[in-house]
Amino acid sequence: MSTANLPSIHCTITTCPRSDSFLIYDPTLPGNATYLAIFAALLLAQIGLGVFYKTWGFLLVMFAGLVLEVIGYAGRLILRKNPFLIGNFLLSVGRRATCLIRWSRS
Amino acid sequence: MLDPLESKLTRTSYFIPLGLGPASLCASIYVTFGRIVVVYSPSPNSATTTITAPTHRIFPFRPHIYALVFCTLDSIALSIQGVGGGLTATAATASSRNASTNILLAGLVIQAVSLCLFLCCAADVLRRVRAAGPDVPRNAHPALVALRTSARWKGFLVSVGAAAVLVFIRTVYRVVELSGGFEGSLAQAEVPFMVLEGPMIMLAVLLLTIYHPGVVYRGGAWEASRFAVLGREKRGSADSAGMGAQNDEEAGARCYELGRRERGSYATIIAGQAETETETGSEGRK
Repeated sequence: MSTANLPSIHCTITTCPRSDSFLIYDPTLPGNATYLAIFAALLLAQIGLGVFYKTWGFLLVMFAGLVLEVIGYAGRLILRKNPFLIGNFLLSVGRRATCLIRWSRS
Repeated sequence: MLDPLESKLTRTSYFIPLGLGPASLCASIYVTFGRIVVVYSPSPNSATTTITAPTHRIFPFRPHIYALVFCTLDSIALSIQGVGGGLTATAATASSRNASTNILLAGLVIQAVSLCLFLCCAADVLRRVRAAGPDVPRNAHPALVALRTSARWKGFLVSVGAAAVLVFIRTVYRVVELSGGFEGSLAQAEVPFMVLEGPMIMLAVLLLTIYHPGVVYRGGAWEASRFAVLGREKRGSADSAGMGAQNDEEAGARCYELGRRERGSYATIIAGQAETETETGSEGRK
């Protein structure tokens, strides 16, 4: 096992070889985009059903799980192309989630 | 230039959520299972009961014990995975990455073991339900009686079990994947990931969307199958048709309201039952 530093803090795309990165492969665009879309659709369906039938406890864990899945696949897509967007993306997801929680509470 | 913080966020952004998402979904399966046990359990003492609850138990544990134990195991697994995932994504050296991957692995193993245990419990409950004859008293709440005999009930039971199996397959894949470390061949192969990670969870959630508990337990059954996760069930809380109903009269009134809103075939039964109970309740107090 090599004791070399891993590309965490000091690494940039230009200074470190690709083999040091978290994933050696580029996540597929069609695959991850499809999964992202499916999870987003399932999330919307679950929110709709959970709010309509007032199954709050079930909705809470389901919502958390699906939001994490959506962020995960979006992260894989961003990891593929543009790493600079992630901060803004997470912020916008956070904002949207907060809005939804407030809306569902009211 | 790639900002260090951005770099960390990027790697963490995909890695941690995909680890924690399914753990959170497991909790929804466990909570739903508690509700299934309620449906097959004898009624708790309440005015809405028509059959007196026997002292013997059909199942080894009460519904809230199942939910409590599995949700606790799940949150332990989730926390360990979160810590392990965070440390793995931000590890500075190969050795620290290995150590944190092992923490992550421990979390995944706990999740896999608790899912396996859950499947055993579910099989045990199914066996006991099958073995028990029709004479064994079940929850006599009209909404739950209607639910047990409804066409959608069996499909719901199958889909909850299938969802648990699917999440279990995914978790076993993650355990095998990470036991080879991050440099392992399986961890750096995309096809197994795209087959065994995403679609398993998708199918599980799809089953729980088609047979959504709210849809399956519609017409007052969701309220009727409520159970207190912590501590003993308060009188009427598991059998009353309203959240936080103060007394049986109020519960009956809420049940009546639900029955009126629902236009299902069994809505009239609930409404009728609630009506008689409201009447007897008010007569008793006069």
